[in-house]
Amino acid sequence: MPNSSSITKSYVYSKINSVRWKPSASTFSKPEIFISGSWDNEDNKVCVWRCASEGDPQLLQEISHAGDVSDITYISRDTAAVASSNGSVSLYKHADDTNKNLSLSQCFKHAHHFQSGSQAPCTSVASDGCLIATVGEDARLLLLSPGQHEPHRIIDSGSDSSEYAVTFIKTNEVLTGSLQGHLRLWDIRKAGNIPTVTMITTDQEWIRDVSCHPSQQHVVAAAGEAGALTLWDMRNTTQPFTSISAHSAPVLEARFHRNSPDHIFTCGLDGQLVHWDVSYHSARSLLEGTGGGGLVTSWLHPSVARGDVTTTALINAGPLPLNSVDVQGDVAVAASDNEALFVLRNLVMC
Amino acid sequence: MPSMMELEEMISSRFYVISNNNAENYRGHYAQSVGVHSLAVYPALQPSMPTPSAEANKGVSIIQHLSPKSWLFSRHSRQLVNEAMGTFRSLQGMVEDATPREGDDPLDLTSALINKSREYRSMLQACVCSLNSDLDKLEPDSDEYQEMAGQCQLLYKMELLLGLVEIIFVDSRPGSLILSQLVCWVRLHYPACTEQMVKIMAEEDPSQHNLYWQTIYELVCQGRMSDARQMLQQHPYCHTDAFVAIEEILRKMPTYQLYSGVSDGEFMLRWQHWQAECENRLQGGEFAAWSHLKKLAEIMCGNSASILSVTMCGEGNRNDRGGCWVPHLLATLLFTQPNVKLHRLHDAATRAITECCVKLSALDALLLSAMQGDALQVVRGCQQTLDNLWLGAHLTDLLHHALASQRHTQLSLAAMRESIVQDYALELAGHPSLWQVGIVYLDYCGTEGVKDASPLTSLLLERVPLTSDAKAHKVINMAEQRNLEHVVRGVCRVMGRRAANEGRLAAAIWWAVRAKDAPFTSHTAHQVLHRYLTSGEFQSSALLLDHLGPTMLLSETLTFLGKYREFHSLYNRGDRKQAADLLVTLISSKLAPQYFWPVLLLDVLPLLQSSEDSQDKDDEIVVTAAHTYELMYCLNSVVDKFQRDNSRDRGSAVAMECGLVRAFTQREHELRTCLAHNLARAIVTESSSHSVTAMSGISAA
Repeated sequence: MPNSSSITKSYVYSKINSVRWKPSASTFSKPEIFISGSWDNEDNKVCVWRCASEGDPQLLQEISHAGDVSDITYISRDTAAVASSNGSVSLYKHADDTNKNLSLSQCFKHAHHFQSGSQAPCTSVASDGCLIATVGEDARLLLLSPGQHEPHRIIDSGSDSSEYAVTFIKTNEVLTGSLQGHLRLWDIRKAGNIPTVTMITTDQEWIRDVSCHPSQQHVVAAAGEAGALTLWDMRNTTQPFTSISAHSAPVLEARFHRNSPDHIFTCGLDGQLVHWDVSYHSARSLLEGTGGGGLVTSWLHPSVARGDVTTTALINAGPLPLNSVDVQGDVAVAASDNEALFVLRNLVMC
Repeated sequence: MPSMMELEEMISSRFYVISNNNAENYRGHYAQSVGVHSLAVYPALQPSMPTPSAEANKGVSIIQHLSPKSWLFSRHSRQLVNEAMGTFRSLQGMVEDATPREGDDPLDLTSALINKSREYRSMLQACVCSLNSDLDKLEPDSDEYQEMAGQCQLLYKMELLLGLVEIIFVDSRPGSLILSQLVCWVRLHYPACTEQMVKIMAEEDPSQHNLYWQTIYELVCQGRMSDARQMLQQHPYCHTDAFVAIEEILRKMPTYQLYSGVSDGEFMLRWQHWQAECENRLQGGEFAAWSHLKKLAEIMCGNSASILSVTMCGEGNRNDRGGCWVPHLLATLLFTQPNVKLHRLHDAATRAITECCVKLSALDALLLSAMQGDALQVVRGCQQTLDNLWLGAHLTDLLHHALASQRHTQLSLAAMRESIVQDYALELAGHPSLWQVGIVYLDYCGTEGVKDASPLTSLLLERVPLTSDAKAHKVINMAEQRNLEHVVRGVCRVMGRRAANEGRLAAAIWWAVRAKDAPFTSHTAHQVLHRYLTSGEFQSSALLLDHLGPTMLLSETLTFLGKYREFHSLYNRGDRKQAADLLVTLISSKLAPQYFWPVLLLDVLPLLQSSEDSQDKDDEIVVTAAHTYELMYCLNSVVDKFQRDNSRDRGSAVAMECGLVRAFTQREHELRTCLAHNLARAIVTESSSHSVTAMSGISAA
C-alpha cells in the first residue's frame, strides 16, 4: 500500500542530538537529504544522510565535530550552522551530495563564553537566511554573519541564567527562551540591551524550544520543562493564549510544519514524538464562513484555548529521550538517545 | 542484597600498590581506580629522583589510564546494546503482566520467550551482516580486518549457542523428541551445502562438477532428502535401476512430526522398516556398480565410518566454524537414533566428539553443557569465556524466566540473573556514552516485587559528568522517574555551585531553589546583596527576583531580596505610602541583614523628602511617627556599629567605605534632619487627626 504511513528505525552507532532536513530545491520535491549531529560520544560527528522512498537512511558522508552538537539549522540551501557545547558555532557546507564534499567552511570559535573566559555551551541557533542568531548558557544573544570573523552584534541579555532557545520572528525580531522560563523579544536594529517584550510564565520552568508560525508570525509555540506546549499570541503578551500538556516529561523540540502550519511536531525526554493537529478547526471555519476565512489562524481558535487539539503519539521510544525531530513534506525524521534514527513516511496531514 | 556501603565501595576510588622487588631502586607503581571501570597507574615517587615535573618528563604524561576494551563498544556492536535494551524491557514487561494475580493460573510464557529469543538471534545476525558488508571494503591483511573477522566469528558462535539454548530450555516440546528441532538448528548454521548445491545446479552439467557427490552426501547428512533427489536427477544415468532404487529410499524415509497423529513407537517401527529395506538392498548388491550410491546407502544405514568421512571433509566444516562435530552428531542421530531424547543427547554428543577427534573449544564446552541440560553451567561458561556480559545477561534472563517453574534451579538462577544483569549494567554505565542504557538495565535487577530503584542507580547517576545544562536536565529527568529526590537535589546543587563560581548569581539562585537548598540560597542571596552594595543595581538578577513567587519563602534572605525588589517596583510606580510601609516592615521585622540597613535608610530619604516638599497637603504623611521611631533606632544602631568598628580596626573601616555605604556616611546628617522633621510633622498630623476623631466622638455623645 503506497499510502499507508510507515516507520523505519535504524541504529547509527551514536546518540544523535539534532536532525534537520536539507531545504529541497522546490516545494514539491520529496525530501531526500538530511543532516544529523551527535552528542555525548568520544568523537562526535556531523553526518549527511540520504533517505530514499523506502528502507533505512544511507550515510553519505560524515565529519568529526568538536564538542556535543546541540542544535543545527540551515542558513542556505547548502550551508548548515551547527551549535556546539564548547561554545563555538560552525558552518558546514555540502553543495552536491553525490560527491563527498562536506566541509567546514567557517568556525566562530569560543563565541559563547562566561565572564571568566571559560567556554559556555551554545544551546540554540537560528537563521533568517543571512544572519545567524545564537544563544548560550552565558545568557548572551549573538548575531553572526557568515563571512565575517567577529560577531555582527552581541546582546547581553541583562540576565545571567542560561538562554536555551532562539528563533527569528521577523527579519529584525528575535525571540529567546531561557532557563527561568522567560520569553524575550529583541529588536536587533535597536541599540541597547533591553528586550522589546518580556513574556513570563509563572512557574519558572525552563523553555527549551520556541517555534514561530511560518506565515502568521504572531503565533508562537514554546515548549519546555512541564511537558506542555504553550501557545502565545504576540499581540497580547501578558499571558499565554493556552498551554496544553501531552508529554509526561520535558519537551525538547517543537516545530511547526513549514507548509501545513496547522500541524506541530514535538519530541521530549519521555521518548515520544507527538503530532498536534488543529486542521479540523480551519476546515470547519472555512465551511461555516466564520472567523474571516483563512485570516484567523486555527491555533488561536477559542476551542484550542479549551484544549481541543488532536494529539497523536507517533513514536514511543521510551524510556530514553527523543532528542530531535524535523518534518518536511510528509516525511518526518527523529533521533533518540537509544542511538536510533526514525524515519516516518506518508504522514497523514491535510 | 549488598549494603549501600559495599555498593559505594564497588564504584568509588580505590588505591592499590603494585610492588616489584626484582629491580633495585624501583619502588613499583601505584594504581587508583577511576570511575566504574578504569584504572590510573603511575610510578611511585623515588627518593633518589627529583620530583617529576612537566619539563623533566618532556611533556610525556606518566599517568597511564587503563580501561578494559570490549568489542561490545565497537562501532558495529553498539547496535546490539541498544537494540537488545528494547527487547529486554519488553520481555520484563510481559513477565510482569503474566505474573499470576491471586487465584489465577500462571500464564504460559513459552511463546513470548521464544519470540524474544528469536529477536536476540536476529539482532546477532543483523550485526554479522553489517560486519560482513563492511569487511568487504577492507584490506584482508589489515589488523582491522582481522579484528572484525574475529568479531564476526564470535557473534556467529553466540547465535549458535543461543539457538541451542532456545531448543533445549525455552522451546521444549512434550515427549522431548528433539531431533526435528536439531535438524533445523544445524541446517540454519551450516548452510554451506545448500549454497554449494545452488552453485552446482547452475552449471551446465552438474554431475561433472568435482563436488557433485560430496554435496549430495552432505545434503543427506542434514536430512535434506528432496534436495538430494533433485541433484540426483541431474545425473545422466538417473533412470537406471540403481538410481531409481536410491531415490525411492530417499523419498520414503519417515520423519517424525509432533502432532501428526503418529506415536513415538509407531514412528520407530516405520523407521526401522525403512532402514531394514535400505540394508537389504545394499546387501543385495543393487548399488554395487555405483560406488557413490553405495556410500549413500551406507550413510543411510548408519555406517559411522561413511558418515564420518563425509562430515570430516565437508566444505563448510573445513574452516573451523564451531567444529565439525555438530553436523556429525546430527547425521549420526538421523540414521541411528531418530527418537533421541534430551537426556541421551549429551552422550551422543560426547561420542561424536571422540569420533571426530576434535579438541574441545570453549564454545564446544558450552554447547555440551547445554545438551546436558545444565542451565547454570551454560551461564557460568558464558561469563567466563566472553569478554563482556551481553550474552551472559540476556541468556541468564531468558533462562530464568523459562525455567521459572522448575524449583531446583530457580533460586540459584534468580541470584545469578540479578548479579549478571547488574554487572552488565555497570559495564555499560562505565561507558561515556551508553550510561543511560546501563541505568535502564539497573531498573530490572532489583529483587523481584521491589519497585524501588536499585541503590546503584543513584550512585551512578551522581557520577555522570555534567558537561552542560542539557545533560543535567537529562540526569534530573532520569532521577525523577525513579523517585530519587536526593539525586535531583544533588545535581541542582552542583549546577548552582558552578553558576555561582562563574558569578552567575541569578542562575545560581534558580538552581539552588530547585535543589531546595536553603543555606546555599541564602548564601547566594547575600552575594546579590553585596553586589548591590557596591554597584547600586541588581543587574542580572532583577528579572528573576521580580517573579520569584512562593519560592522566595525558601530562605529568609531570599524573601528579603524579593520583598526589597517589590519595594523598588512600588516606589517606581509612585506608590510611596505602600513602599514606605514595606520598607519599614523589612527593617523592623529583622528580615534585612544588618549590613544592608544603610541602604534601606538611604532609600527612606527620598520618601521623607518628598513628603516635606508637599507641605500643603497635610494628610500625606508617608512615614508615620511610629515608623519614624523605628528608623531612628535603626539609624543609631548603624552609626554605633560604624563607630565601634572604626575604633577597633581602621582597616575594616576603609573596606566599609565603598559604594552605597560611603553615600550613607556622607548623608547621615541629612538623614537625621529629615527624620526629625518628619517626626514633628507626623506627630502634629496624627494628633490633629486623632483629635478630630476624638472631637467627633464627643459631639456624637
